[in-house]
Amino acid sequence: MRAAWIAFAVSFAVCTTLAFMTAAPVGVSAEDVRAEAEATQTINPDLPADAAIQKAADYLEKKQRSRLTYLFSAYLVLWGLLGLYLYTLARKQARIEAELKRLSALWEDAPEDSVG
Amino acid sequence: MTKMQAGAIVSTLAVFAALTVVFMFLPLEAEMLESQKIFYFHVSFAFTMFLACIVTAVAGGYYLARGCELADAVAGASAEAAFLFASIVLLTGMFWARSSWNVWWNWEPRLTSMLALWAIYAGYLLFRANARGEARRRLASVYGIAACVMVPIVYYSIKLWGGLMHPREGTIFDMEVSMQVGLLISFAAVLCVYAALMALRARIETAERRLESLWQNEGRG
Amino acid sequence: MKHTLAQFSRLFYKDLSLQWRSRGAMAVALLFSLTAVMLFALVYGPFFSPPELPMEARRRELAKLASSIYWTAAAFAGVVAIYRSAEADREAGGIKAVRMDADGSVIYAARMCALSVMLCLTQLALGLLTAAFFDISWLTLGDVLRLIGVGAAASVGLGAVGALMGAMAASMRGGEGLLSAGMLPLQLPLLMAASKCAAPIWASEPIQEKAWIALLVAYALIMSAVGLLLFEVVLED
Repeated sequence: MRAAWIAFAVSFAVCTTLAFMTAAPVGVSAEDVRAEAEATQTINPDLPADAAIQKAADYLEKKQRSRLTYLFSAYLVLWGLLGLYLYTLARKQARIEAELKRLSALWEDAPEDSVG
Repeated sequence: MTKMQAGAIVSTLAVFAALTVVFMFLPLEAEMLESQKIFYFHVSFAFTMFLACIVTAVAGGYYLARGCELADAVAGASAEAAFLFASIVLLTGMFWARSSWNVWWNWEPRLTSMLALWAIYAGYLLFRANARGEARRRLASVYGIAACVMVPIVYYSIKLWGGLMHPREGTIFDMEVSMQVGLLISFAAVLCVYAALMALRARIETAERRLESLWQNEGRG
Repeated sequence: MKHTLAQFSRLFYKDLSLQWRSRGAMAVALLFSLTAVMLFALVYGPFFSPPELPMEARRRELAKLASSIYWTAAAFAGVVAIYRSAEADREAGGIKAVRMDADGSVIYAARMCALSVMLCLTQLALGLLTAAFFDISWLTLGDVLRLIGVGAAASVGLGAVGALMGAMAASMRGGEGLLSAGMLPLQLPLLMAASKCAAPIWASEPIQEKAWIALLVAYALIMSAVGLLLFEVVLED
């Protein structure tokens, strides 16, 4: 069981580290902002150009941030469920070991002729 | 080194390799960016879940035919893995759906049939947890065989009823090569995790059975 | 062959009379559907679909609602019927008491058929209730026959799963409590297919998605085959 827990902890640490290391920094290119602002102005022609650019930048940044949130949440759920399963297995094993101990103690206490 | 330790080391290495490839070497998908990286493990867990369902049915059938107790332990362990993996697939899928399609859930055929499969294996585990002795093994084997009917229904659901979110089966063959390699490595890693979990669970089941028989002997003595 | 048929008919008659004695299950199911319709009507009411909608759109809306409530009630009826049948079994001294040295598959076939007949009857009553509550007056004889066909196929499937799970629950201590937990998920694909097949029929339209019919029939057949092959195993000591 200990080997399983170590494997789980190492895998989880690797996953989190790699996800943090490789996540692209939140930031959007000027090109994307321009395109989004143009799209916004097509829908809402009365919006001034500055406001449209600000709105587009905010929207794109929020969208990118949320993508990272979903990525981390999904992997967190994955490891969480695996961890929960390992925990239930560990409890089951501990219960069995305790019972085995209890049973062997019963046998040791029993008088010689009643054993076997 | 015990077999369990070896299994843990192999599955850790496989998961490490898969995560390294997915996060460090695979390019970002143009539309979905980082959230697309959910895909590799989501799909791998889905395929492994199908395998776990089939193993449950086959091992159950083998138990009914030959009465081999190990086969029953394997069936039980595999059904637990199938339920766990189905939960992972459903939940990771929800995050992916939210990031890509702006919805947490919708009732398209793949999702609906997948939820039905999840419920069926929950029923299997309930049955198994509440029966005792030989009846438990027999009944669980019958249930496992009946439950396996859901595998083709989930797999072909898009082909049969169409879908808005999921692609049809076999679409992975049309993907970019780098994505295919990433998926293959992730699948191998999840398979290792499945094998390790099965071995661990089957060992606990065997110990439980030994304990049960010891108590019975004690009761008779 | 003749001997098997005689055994089947004796067991079928015995199971059917046991089922008939517990026909109170039907009344419970009808009451349940009444409750479901009332709750829906309260939220949607006073009309299930706005009267200003064109007639065709209204029909479709009503049909979808009718089909979903109908099949929810039918699923409930199935669970109640199978509970009662397990109870009746226990009172009669278990399945083995009615065995008459018959083969497991014969006992299963008789039980499944008896259960299917009872479910069909319940569904007929439910259908009349549904048509009245949803004010469905446009059905032709062809539609009624198609509805009966869908109901019969679903009843066979529900009966197949129910007979198997009922016997499984009976051979476990306290198994009745687990009956619905084990049975309802296995019946889900059938109920899904039946409600999708029935919805267009309630609107008097052809079924566009033929795959649902295929699922309904194939699932009912596969579950019957699984039951026939494995029932003997369930009955073993």
